[in-house]
Order: sequence, then C-alpha cells, then structure tokens
Amino acid sequence: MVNSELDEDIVSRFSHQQIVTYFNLYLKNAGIIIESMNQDFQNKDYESLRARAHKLKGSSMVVGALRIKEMASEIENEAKEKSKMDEHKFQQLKEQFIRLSDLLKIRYNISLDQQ
Amino acid sequence: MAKDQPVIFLVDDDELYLLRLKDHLTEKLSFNARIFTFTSGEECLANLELDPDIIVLDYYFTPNDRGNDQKLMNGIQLIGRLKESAPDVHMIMLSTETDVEVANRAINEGAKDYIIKYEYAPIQLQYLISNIILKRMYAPKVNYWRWGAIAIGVLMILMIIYLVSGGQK
Repeated sequence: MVNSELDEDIVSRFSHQQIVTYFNLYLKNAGIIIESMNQDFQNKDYESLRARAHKLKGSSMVVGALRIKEMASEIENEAKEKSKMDEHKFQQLKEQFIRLSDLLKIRYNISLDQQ
Repeated sequence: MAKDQPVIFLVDDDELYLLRLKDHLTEKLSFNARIFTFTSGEECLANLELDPDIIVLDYYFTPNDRGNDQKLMNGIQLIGRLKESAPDVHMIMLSTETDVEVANRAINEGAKDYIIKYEYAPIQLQYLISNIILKRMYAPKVNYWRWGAIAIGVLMILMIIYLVSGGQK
C-alpha cells in the first residue's frame, strides 16, 4: 500500500526499533541537506546542489519517503542540466519535509525536537 | 578461505543507507559475516588490513554536511586504488546512477558487478553476496574432488597396463 508521504510496504519491513533509529537519522540529515540545497541554489553552485539532491534521494528511498525522493530526483536532474530552476520547488520540498515530520510525530512519536 | 568468517565492506557516504544495508545483511545472510561500514573511499583504503572478501561501494561520495568540505574520491577512483592494493577482492558497485557509461567504466576498471540502488536493492545484494561467498567456500573443495578423480583415473590406467602386461608374461 502506498500513500503520498510514505511507502508502507517499505516501512512494514522495519522493526519498531529500526523505525525509530532510521527516521531519527533521516530527519536529522535530511533537514540539514534541504537547508544546504537552498544555499547551493542561491549561490548557483549546481554541482553541490546535484550532489546533495542525489544524497537526499538515496536516503528518502531507504525510508520510503516517496514524495521527497521524487522531488529530490527532479532537482538532481535539473541541477545536472543546469536548467532553469524554480525557487518555489525548494519551498515545496520544505513543506513536504514538514508534512512527513508531522506524520512521523503522530504515528511513531518521532520528532526533530528530539535530535 | 583461511578466515572463519567472510569480511564484507560497505562503502557509502549515506550513513542511513549504510545502516539499513548492514541491518538487512546481518538479518538475512544465511552465514555469519563480519560487516564493516565506511563513509568514504579514503576510510575504506585505510582499513584494508581487515582483509575484505567483498567490497560494496557507491559511485558518488559527497562530504557530510557538518562543515567537512574535503574533496573525496569517487567510486571509480576507489576501484582503481583497490585493484592495486587488494586485487582479489570482489568489488560490487551499488549506486543510484543509471548512466550506462558509469556502469561500463566501473566494470572496465575492475568491478565485478553493478547494482542500481532502488528500494529492493538490499535483497538483490543479499543474494549476490551469498552466491559469491558460497562459490569461494566451495571452490577449494571442488578442486579436491577434481584432483581426486584424476588420481583415481591414473591409478586405474596404471592397473590396466599392469594387468595387461602381466597377462602377456
């Protein structure tokens, strides 16, 4: 079963302990990466932006964060092509990250504040 | 294999991916293995004295986002270095990079396998590692059988020659 935030099939393979460990690490790292991606975009450092988007795509895949993975993949491709990028995309990425964080807090009581 | 357990290196700049992969392999492999994780090629090269049998490595390595701006070698460069310092190691590249050129370069440089990182790649990797290790474990035994069969064949031929020549006396 798949919803827009999380791939339930992936998550169902994790033990409770793994869910806590993986999502804590994910929230900590992804939050930093998303902030840095925004900086890269402002600085027009497309290579760094591509590398960070690539990393975010990989991490999101591990925990089944589907929407964030798709968005990171789009940004990676656009940065690779150095094509015109929309600043709005980073805002959408941030919002998606907040939505996922909220979902994790409700479901598993995992939150960024615990970091 | 002289060691009591195979040694597997997992090399990836993504700590979360490393953790997931290590957990999966520890849980699912049908044999005990010593699994080590490293977040850069440099770290992997510095630990070769652990004598790995298999090295699973990523293509892209970016410095972590905690103020470390050091430029890191990529997976292809790492394969090149490993080919010199650990030529018997089975190298597997595991990357989200779908560019065939990258896969070709990895294989030409010395990687034996290339797996695309996707949701179920840990399962694919688990089966690949099992096959490699089983082949390595049983290869010497297969050789013993082969030499044993040849020795028996030679003895039989000698016996036939002896019997034939004895019969002529």
